[in-house]
Amino acid sequence: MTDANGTTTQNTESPTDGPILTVDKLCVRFSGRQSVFGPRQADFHAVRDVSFQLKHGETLGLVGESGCGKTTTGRAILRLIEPTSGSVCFEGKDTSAHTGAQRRALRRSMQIVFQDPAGALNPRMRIGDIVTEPMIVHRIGDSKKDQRQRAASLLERCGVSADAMKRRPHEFSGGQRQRIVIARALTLSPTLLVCDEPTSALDVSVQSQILNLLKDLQRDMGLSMLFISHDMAVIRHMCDRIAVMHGGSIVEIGPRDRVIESPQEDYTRRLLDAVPSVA
Amino acid sequence: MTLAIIVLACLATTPWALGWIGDGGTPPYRDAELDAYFLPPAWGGHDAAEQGRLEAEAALHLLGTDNLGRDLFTRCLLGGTISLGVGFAAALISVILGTLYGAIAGAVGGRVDAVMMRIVDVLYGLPYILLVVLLAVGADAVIDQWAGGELSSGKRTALNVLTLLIAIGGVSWLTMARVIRGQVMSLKAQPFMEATRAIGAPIHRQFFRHLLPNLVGPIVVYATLTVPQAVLQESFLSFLGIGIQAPLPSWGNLAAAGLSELNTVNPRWWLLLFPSLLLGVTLLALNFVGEGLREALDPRSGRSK
Repeated sequence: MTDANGTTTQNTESPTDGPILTVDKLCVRFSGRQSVFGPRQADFHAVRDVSFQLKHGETLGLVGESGCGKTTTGRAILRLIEPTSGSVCFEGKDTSAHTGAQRRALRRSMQIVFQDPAGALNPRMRIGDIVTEPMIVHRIGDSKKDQRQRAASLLERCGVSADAMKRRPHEFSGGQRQRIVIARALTLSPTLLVCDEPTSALDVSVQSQILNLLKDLQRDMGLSMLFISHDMAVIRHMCDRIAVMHGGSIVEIGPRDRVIESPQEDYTRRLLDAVPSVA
Repeated sequence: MTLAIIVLACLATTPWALGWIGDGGTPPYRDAELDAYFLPPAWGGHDAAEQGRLEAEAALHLLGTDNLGRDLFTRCLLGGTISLGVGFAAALISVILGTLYGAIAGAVGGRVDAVMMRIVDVLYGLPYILLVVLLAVGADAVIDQWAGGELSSGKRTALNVLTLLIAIGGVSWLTMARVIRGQVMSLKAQPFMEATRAIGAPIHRQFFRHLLPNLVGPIVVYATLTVPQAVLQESFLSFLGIGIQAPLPSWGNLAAAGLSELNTVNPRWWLLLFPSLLLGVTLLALNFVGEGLREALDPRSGRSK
């Protein structure tokens, strides 16, 4: 919560050196629709008893087919969706017990990069306003000028020239927009970044640029990342550990090389076989 | 395309702008000698008697005069002021009401949304003319009882117009509410709204900085499409005699007066033709403006000039 924590070098600031994020038996259930006519539809368990830990500076890959609950897990961790049961502990504190002020602080330290960069930026706002908005909301920076300078330097760090500040999202390509989304997520100097399929809407040549950018940023800023993707090649490139999800639960979790080279579960093997670039 | 819209817009606003000028000049009024005061349009053929009267008056009646010798051109402009004024004001009421209602229903969602929209459905089901008539007549009765005829005629007229405004505005906000609700719901599903939540932006910031600017397009478009609708409703009600009352002209009651002068012996056709023509052209132009705005503000369509 303190600003001292925000200025991370490497993962030495944690007093206990414990995990940054502990997810315990997380469940998200969408209740079935009650129609006036016909029977009530069954509830849908999007996420079922998901538990894992994420260490400081580590990247955990969440992989699985579409509809397996990867994205829902990510959102529930950020509390964009309220979990039905289970707990999410961030830096040792249960996020569900947070009061308003604590929750705002939580928003500062956890950010998300979305799958669809086209929709993630408000089409009516200029890039400069989009990137400075988090700082305005959280009252970071001494003056407007200060905030804009910070935004400009972050944009340049993410590979977007600073004169983009005056333009609007539709003037940029998908890759550029994703860079802007990343820059916005980083304005609050978060410690955890949830990347929800950040490259699946981009073409292959841009994908690798974005992935390398994320890796560089992680190294420089000491970020922990939860990297959600369906693409085994991307996951292998990015992650230290891999969690394989199927039907709302984690079927296998372990270090990258072990999961890819000697998968224990039948489902993981099938998933790996389905990707020609990995086999 | 753009040019055509602008030209039509000018056409639509000209009678309105002139109407404000015409507003000041009191129409010439003289002692009535039954229906001796009718005059056909200036450019129509005048017989000797008519010509004589015209010269005595030293006036040019562009569109002729009515049964009291009032210049129809002036009356039409004044009527246009009132018709368009009522139209714009009623559209404004309906836009404010509809936007608020729709935005709340869309933003809150769930059960509240369901209840609010069923109310709209029910109101949609009622025949709107009946509703407007009831509102207008009911308000009239209430005003009469409350003030008991102590009001000056000016105040009485103002109240009358106000009732009409509320009646039309209160009935035409339903479509607006539905459109805005749909827009809000689709915007809410956009990732950038989720991003603002992830940032931790407070509710009012989400609403005013992100939701509302993205709603401006549809609001403007539907507002411009509501104006001609409201003008038409006002004219329709005035035509029926429920709207604007007699000494005050509006295109609707001018047309109604014109219709009553239409007979086989001595048809005073200009009294019906010109107000109706003006109304028709204005409605058409306003609709074109609305269409043009919709095209111009649609982010999907390329900006062609």
